Amino acid sequence: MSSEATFPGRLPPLDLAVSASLAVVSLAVYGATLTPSLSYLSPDGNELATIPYVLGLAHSPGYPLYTWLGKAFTLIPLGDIAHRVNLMSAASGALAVAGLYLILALLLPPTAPLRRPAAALCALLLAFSPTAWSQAVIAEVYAPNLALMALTLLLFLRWEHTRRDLDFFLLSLTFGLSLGTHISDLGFAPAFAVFVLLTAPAALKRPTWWLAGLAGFGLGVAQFAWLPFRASTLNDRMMLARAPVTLSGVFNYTLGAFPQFKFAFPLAALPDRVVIYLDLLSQEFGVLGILGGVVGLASLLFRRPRHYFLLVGMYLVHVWFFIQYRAFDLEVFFLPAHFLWAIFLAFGLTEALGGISALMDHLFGGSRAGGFSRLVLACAAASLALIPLTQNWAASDHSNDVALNDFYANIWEMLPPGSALLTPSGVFGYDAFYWQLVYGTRPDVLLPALPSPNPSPTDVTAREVYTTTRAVARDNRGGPASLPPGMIAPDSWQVPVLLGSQATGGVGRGNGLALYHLTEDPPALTAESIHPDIVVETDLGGVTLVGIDIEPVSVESGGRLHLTLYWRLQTAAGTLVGTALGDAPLEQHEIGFGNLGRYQAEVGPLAGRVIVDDYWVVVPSTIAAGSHDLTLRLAGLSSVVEVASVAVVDNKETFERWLNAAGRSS
Amino acid sequence: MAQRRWQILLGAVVLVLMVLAGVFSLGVYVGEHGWTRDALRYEPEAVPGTGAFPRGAPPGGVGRQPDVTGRIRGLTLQSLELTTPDGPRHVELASDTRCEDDQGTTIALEELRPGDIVAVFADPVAGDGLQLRATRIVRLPPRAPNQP
Repeated sequence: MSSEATFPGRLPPLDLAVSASLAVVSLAVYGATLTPSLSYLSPDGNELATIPYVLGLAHSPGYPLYTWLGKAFTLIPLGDIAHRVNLMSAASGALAVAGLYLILALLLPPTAPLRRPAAALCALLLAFSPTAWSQAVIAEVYAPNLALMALTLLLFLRWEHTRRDLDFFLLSLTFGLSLGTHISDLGFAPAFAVFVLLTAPAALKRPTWWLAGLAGFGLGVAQFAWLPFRASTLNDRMMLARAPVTLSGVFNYTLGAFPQFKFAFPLAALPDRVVIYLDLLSQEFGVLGILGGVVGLASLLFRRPRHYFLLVGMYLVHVWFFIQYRAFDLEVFFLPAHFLWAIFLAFGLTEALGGISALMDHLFGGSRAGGFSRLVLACAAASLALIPLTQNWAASDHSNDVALNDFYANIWEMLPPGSALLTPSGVFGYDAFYWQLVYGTRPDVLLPALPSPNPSPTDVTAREVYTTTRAVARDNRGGPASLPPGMIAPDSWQVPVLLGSQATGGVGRGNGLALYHLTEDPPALTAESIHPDIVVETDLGGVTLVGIDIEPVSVESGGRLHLTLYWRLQTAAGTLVGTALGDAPLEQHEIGFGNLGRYQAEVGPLAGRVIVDDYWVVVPSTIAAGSHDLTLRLAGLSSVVEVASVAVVDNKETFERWLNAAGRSS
Repeated sequence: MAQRRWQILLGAVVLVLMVLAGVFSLGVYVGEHGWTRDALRYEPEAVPGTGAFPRGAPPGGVGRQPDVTGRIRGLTLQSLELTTPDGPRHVELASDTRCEDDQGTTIALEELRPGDIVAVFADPVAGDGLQLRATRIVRLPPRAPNQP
């Protein structure tokens, strides 16, 4: 193996151009698949879409830099506020891809043939990997964190070349700032220290070097002064329990946050955890990508041993920490490790392409055919990026994920004046808080958990009460995704009045989208005699659909339909029914909305009576204008009952409709 | 040059240890679970017994979709350890956690056994990571031998 290659220091214009092109391509892909606004694709996404606009304080560890950068993006006049914050993820994801290429352009041996196609391919493999892509199309911290990580590494490589204290100051400042997008970056510090020791031990003897480093890092972490400054805006019970208003509070809110998740597994469980990580890695890069990365590690070791200790040190600390982290959405925490693995893979790929290129030279010599075959090889290598692009497009494309905004736009239109909408407090309430905090929507509607995480039942006295979260137990004790305790009378009926479909892959609302009206009186679940507009009388196997009322028969896309379904049941056992408009699912619910058993016990027998499901359903704004069949289908049955034709009109642009519902003109 | 040689030697040891850790873990996993992705798959798994649903609709419906489905690996009075499509999952139990069989009949928590397949309706108990606390556990019928 050759001795360590000369570090180029400055990048050729061609590398800068390739890097910019990769950013443009990534941004185009992320933009085309961007989530339009709010979603349940991340447990914290709606909070993270709102907090930047109001310059509030996000959940632990606070994410000050993310908040400020997000605020800047909210000034871009595109879509709604959540869309603009989503755009920040797309832009920062694209920057991370460009940064990865530049890092590779600096690190890969300058004499290695086809190093540029290898670097570009690995940058795109990361860009189009499932997890990186998923985080670049929603409001989340991970894509901005990757961009900051790439910038930190680039500045490290720059300082390595110049050894100037000013560059070390900039590096330290960026590293400190990166903690404001994910505090786990602090785990990279030991690897940074080892690299400094290996690269420029003499620097440690210079007071100015120490001053530059401490000043830069101190300035970066000074962003966490934001925490006590904005702690008064917290409305999350768990976060308030460790409010960052004292030094120990700041520690508990940041480095000491979520202790129950950290190092949560016994030693015996670690092999399983390692395999889970390897499985995640294979989902990002494939088994060949893992093997290529191992080859790349060896290549990196022999070609750039000091950088090996920098990158492998960062990687090992990160993976070691997160394989022992007990998290629901574990895959996103490994993104920095995936970023580093893409570097290892690039080294492996460069070795492989170098070997093939040498073979071609042997076969064709220096002839024109040899040059042509290398060009073909370079194009073939770069085109491999099309594989994850096409494979992951469908799962990563959230451009049609309008369910949550359509749902809430209709809620704000439906809620009676002076009513109350019960929500969870804190992070899980931001699907509703967003509208009032950002747009001041329906100030007459009380969101009890918005001003305080511990609302009192007296807050909603004399108000019609609604909720989008089902109470799961009579005393409603539960986690933060539950309603604040004591807000629902134990004997209240929960009757869905508006239902919507939810895109697959969401979290936080496993039971679909439903607006429940909470009433003391039992709902009108049955009727003795009915006169439906559309008589169906179809036996669906123990369940007879007697008829249906629909109004209006012409509806704006993004609007809602009022459905009344009339059923005759053999038993009171829950039967699941779904409705669809054309190919678009509208909702699913249990006949009687899960209230039949209680209704029978408290109101009267169901025998001989018709069950009435009376509710509104959201018509997704993605449904094209035109005539569509409204169909019903029972769970477990393949037959579909076509009950009516509904005309969908599309007079308003989607954002215009949402902003109108929010109380703002577009 | 000597320093570089030592760096490469140490780096090689680290690399070998990394590979060994991966291979060892894989061996332990295969020994425990066999050549299966049951404990690792990240794709959502259909809940047995729920049948088909309307065109393209997500499984579930108002009040019907479990938050996690998997096979019980371990069970205490305070928690369940499940093997799920998302990997091993830990679910806390509360005093008001209800257990029932697939017919809706209430059963005691003690009737659950390692190896049972259960659907768990739960609430997250923390923000950045979502640990779950079960509100209702439904023991599902065992899989038929040829059922995937």
